Amino acid sequence: MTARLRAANTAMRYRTEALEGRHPGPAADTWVAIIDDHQSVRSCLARVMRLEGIRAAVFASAEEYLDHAAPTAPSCLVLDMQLPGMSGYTLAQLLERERPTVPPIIFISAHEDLLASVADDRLTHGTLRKPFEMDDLLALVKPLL
Amino acid sequence: MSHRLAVWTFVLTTFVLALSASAPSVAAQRATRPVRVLVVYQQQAETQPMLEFAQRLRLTISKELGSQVEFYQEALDFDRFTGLEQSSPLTNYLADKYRQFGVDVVVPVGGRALKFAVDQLGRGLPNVPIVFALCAMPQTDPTAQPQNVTGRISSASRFAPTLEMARRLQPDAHRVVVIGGAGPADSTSVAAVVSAAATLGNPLDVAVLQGLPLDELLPRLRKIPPRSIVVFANYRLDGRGQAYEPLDIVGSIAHAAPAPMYTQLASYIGEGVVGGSVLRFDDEAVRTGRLVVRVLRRRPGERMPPVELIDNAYVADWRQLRRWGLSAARLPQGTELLFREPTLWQRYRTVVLLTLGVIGAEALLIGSLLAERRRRKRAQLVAEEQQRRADETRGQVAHMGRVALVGELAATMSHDLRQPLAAIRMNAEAGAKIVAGDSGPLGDEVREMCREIFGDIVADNELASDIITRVRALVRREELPPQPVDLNEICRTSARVLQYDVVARQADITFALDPRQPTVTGDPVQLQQVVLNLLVNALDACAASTTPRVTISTAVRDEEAEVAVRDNGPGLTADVQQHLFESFFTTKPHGLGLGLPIVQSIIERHHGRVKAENAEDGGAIFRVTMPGTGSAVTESPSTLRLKLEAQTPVANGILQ
Repeated sequence: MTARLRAANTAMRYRTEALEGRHPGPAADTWVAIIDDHQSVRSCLARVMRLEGIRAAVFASAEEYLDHAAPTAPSCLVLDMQLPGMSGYTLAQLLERERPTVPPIIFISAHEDLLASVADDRLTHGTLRKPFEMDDLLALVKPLL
Repeated sequence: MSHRLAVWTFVLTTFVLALSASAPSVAAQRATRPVRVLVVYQQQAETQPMLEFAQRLRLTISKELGSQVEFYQEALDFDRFTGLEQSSPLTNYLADKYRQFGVDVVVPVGGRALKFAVDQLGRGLPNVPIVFALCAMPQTDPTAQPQNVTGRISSASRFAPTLEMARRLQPDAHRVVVIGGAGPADSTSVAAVVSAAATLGNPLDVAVLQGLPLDELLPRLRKIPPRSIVVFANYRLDGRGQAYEPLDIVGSIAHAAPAPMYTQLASYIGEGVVGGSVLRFDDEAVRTGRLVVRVLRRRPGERMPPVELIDNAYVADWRQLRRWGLSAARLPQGTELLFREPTLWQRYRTVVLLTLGVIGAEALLIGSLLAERRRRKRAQLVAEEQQRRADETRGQVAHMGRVALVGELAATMSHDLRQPLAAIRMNAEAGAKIVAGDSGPLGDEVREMCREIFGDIVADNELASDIITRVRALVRREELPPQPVDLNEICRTSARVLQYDVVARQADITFALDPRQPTVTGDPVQLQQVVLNLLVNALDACAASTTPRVTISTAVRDEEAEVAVRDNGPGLTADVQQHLFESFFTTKPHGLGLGLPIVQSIIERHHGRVKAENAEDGGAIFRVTMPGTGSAVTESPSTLRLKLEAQTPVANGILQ
């Protein structure tokens, strides 16, 4: 079993734990959605949120996020721009088109040029290039909660 | 019939003539015997000029007459046997000798011979026609000859043209020196020269050296002024009674003279004489012979032909012109220039041409052999060079292929590596944060978090190592020894290498791999380059499509293994298809145009072929076919389906 499959399984486990409440997931009213296809990034971010007492749910793809029926919208999205299938930006556009409200989005990517292309978008709350400082992420997330 | 009539007429006529001439026996005999010609020489007959003359005369008469001719000769040598001309015993002897025998024509050679023939011999051989030769006026008077006499005679002014020639060649000469012997013939010639000199427009001084013995003549001659014209009149007898054949002495006289010497006989030219208006014995013999024939062919009662004037010709010796520094350009028009020293080219033209021909032919042969050899050698060299270049190019192309591929893969590699590296960094940082924020002993939760973090770090590290290992294999320079290569495995690995690209382009890769595991013998890295190239091309081709899709299939067909990569792009235009495999041909804005030539080069090395075609429902298909080496493992279709299902996530960017 390769790292990737292990990562996928872990992601599934986290998501399940969060939904089933076995895990100190996000509160019903305030929570953060973390969408990244890279498992270790996802879990790393989730761990940092947990340490800060912020509820977070992780998703391996845009489709997975859309499939997830949460009672409330997240306070913000930490969204990887490159995702298998639907890209991060496409998801943002889709949400804007189909949902009454779109949470502020923090775009993350390993690629500066991708981030630059969305830096001025009105849906963009902030951009972070991987690897980024955890404090930088928290500084962007905390004001939204 | 007419011939017989002519014979009878002839016989009858001769008979009548014979009766009237009271010589019936001769006429009667002539009808049946050969024609008899008696040549009477005034001088000896054995000198070179006379022998030549006699020979040509005989030849001409025999040839032109067409019947059998007998020649008789009497060389009277009057210069030495002076007084014989009036000798009755000689006359009687000769008359007796030829009267009974019968002679048809007498040819006296020389003026005194003619006189002898007419005056003495004629009494014994009455009415026999006489054709004289080599006579000259005024010694011989053609008008004073009997009816039965004709011949050829030189003009009294025969030396005038010679003097003309001499003056043209030597405009600055002011003296004519005449050389002559003491004999009668010599005297007439000397007189002719003197009279000719007197008739010149601008008369010259004339000095005569006549009758001197040769040993006195030569020293005297050496003292004459150089600006003289020396004329050799004739020299048959010197003052002491010594007879000479002029031809024998003309050379020494000419060489003793300090000035150019001229003459009247062509025979002397070549002995040191410059030239002159000369009598040519060979020409003269022929003309005399013809006159003799005309005389012999006279019809009965027909008169003798008239006396002919000898026409001299200008002849000069080129060597003597050179010797005296005389210009050949000043010679009278029509002068025959003898002994012109031919240039090397003229002299050896035949030899040179022949030699050149032989050399040329040999050279040609050798040349063609060499050319053939060189051509072969060159062809061989060219072939070797081509082989070497092909090998080199293949090596280069293979390497360039790898280099180009590295370029193509650079983006993928960096993307792929960035993800795990970023994750490692962030996890490490998160770990540090956790440890820093918890001052007390580590709680179970923190301990669990740290365990997860380290697990993630290890996993990301493995991922990065995987990527590096895969790339290193691709850019390895050395070739691997040929080994069995599973094409299915190659296809899967290639897709894995490109997974970032596939994900980034939101493309879909579908596998249709033959469960019989098509296997070929070759270099796995090179074959992976081939598939990678085809995949990159396919992804590029369908990039504009709304649902980019690439299908990789393998198949075992007969003895061959096939890999096909199909896209759902716009397909190939005819123009593109034509140039596909040319180096540096590309339809991509930033492409190198090396992909397909590399593919082709590699596949050729694997004894395979690459084919590009358009799919029926749009898009392009690139097929690589190579000799197969069978199947490693036989898989059942159900296994395949499972495998394909397992592969599907690859299309979605998740590695197994």
